[in-house]
Amino acid sequence: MKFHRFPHLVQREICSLLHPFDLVLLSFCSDRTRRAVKKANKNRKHEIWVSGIKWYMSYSFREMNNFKRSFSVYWNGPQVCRSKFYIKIDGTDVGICERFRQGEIYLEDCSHSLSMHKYICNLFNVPEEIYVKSNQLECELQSVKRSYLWNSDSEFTLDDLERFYRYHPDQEFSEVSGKLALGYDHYNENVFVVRNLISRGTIRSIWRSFKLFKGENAYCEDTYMSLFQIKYAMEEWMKRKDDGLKSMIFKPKEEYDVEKTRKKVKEISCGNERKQEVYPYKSM
Amino acid sequence: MSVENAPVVDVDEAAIPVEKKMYYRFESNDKKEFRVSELAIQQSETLNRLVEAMGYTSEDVENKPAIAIENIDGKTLKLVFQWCEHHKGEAIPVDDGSVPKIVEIPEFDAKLMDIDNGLLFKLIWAADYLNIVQLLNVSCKKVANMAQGKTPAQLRRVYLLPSDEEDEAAKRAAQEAQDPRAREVEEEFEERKRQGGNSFF
Repeated sequence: MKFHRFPHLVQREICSLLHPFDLVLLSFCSDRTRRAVKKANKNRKHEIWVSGIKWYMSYSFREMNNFKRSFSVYWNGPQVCRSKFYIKIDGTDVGICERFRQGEIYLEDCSHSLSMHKYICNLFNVPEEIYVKSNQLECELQSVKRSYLWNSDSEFTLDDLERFYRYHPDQEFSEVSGKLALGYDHYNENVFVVRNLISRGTIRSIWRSFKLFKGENAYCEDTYMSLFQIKYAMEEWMKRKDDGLKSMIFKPKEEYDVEKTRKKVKEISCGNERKQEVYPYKSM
Repeated sequence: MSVENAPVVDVDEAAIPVEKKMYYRFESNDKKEFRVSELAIQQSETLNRLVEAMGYTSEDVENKPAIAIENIDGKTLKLVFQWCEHHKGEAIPVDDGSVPKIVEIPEFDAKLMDIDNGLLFKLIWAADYLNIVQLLNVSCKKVANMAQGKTPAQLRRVYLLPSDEEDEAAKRAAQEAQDPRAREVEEEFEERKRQGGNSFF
């Protein structure tokens, strides 16, 4: 069964039936196979999101709001990784252990995890930038471009979030889903420093959203709304000059009675642009 | 009027005109002939278009020579038409874009594809050539299943994948076969280099 003798369409068909982990292993076979896999993956529409730390990166494929966990890349150390082979990534020989467990790839050298990330992104024709999906805010990975933070068991603290966004300052997009531990003594400002933000149930009050967000567009779901808060937030925003804010959209909690606030509004837009398209998540 | 009270009418079944099924004749490249029903042909986009374009009547089918399929041998074509007859009338699947694509191999297909790799290769090739979407799906699924749980070294053996060095050597050989003078020039160049010549030209 000579794989390379199949027409391209058939190769693409076979690749579409293979699990991403098997595709990565297939690509390790030779440079020609890697090119065939890459070509077969050309029309796939998804993003690669990673979670973990430098010596353990777990890969998920994202299509719209669905994440499919696919495989992990570990650092195994030169002692354990005795039988290995090398692939060249950007002129660097990256050692990979011969032994694989289902869904696990082991690297010889910890410092090669980012090279491997680049290799994987290249193979699946997605941007090399790091998109992080994590429920832990202590993320060691550098140059994060997008983040998806969720917390179902505990609460985020503003200090942790502030540290996370300071550590990854050039993010173009961040989605936060989960509760925020908010004491009355907190007066943090500009915590969510990111160009585009989606908050799902994290920032509950409108005026606090203005205080905490520093970026261009924000969409905040499950916010508490009162006429007083809306007016206060608008006044605060009018005072600001050149803060770069383009739009903030608030979607109130479901039981919110729109009629009671006199104005018949479901979404309130401040600024020159209405960003209706921010929700649901859409690749930008 | 209720259904129970409706008048009973005896129907003479023989008097009802029965639409005659049309069977097309195809011939493989090793001159084996096959008769395939019109409905089964619909599984193949290529053949369906071909017979539509030909516009054969029942008489034409019998009187004219069998339609030649020059790229496929009899053994493979037999499997293809067996598959088409078994799945005739079934809807042709549409790719929903899921990754990895979800395809299940029915029992009949699994038995049909219980063949050696060489014939399976020909079957896939034929399914692609005749554009039989579901046959291509299941046959490729069988090939994809061979990769499950395999290491790169095992994959090389299963899919007969040459290493980078072997690919490079094959590429060189192909180039040389295309231009036999290239090897002579290269040898001459090496010889002159050994002799300490500064310039080849």
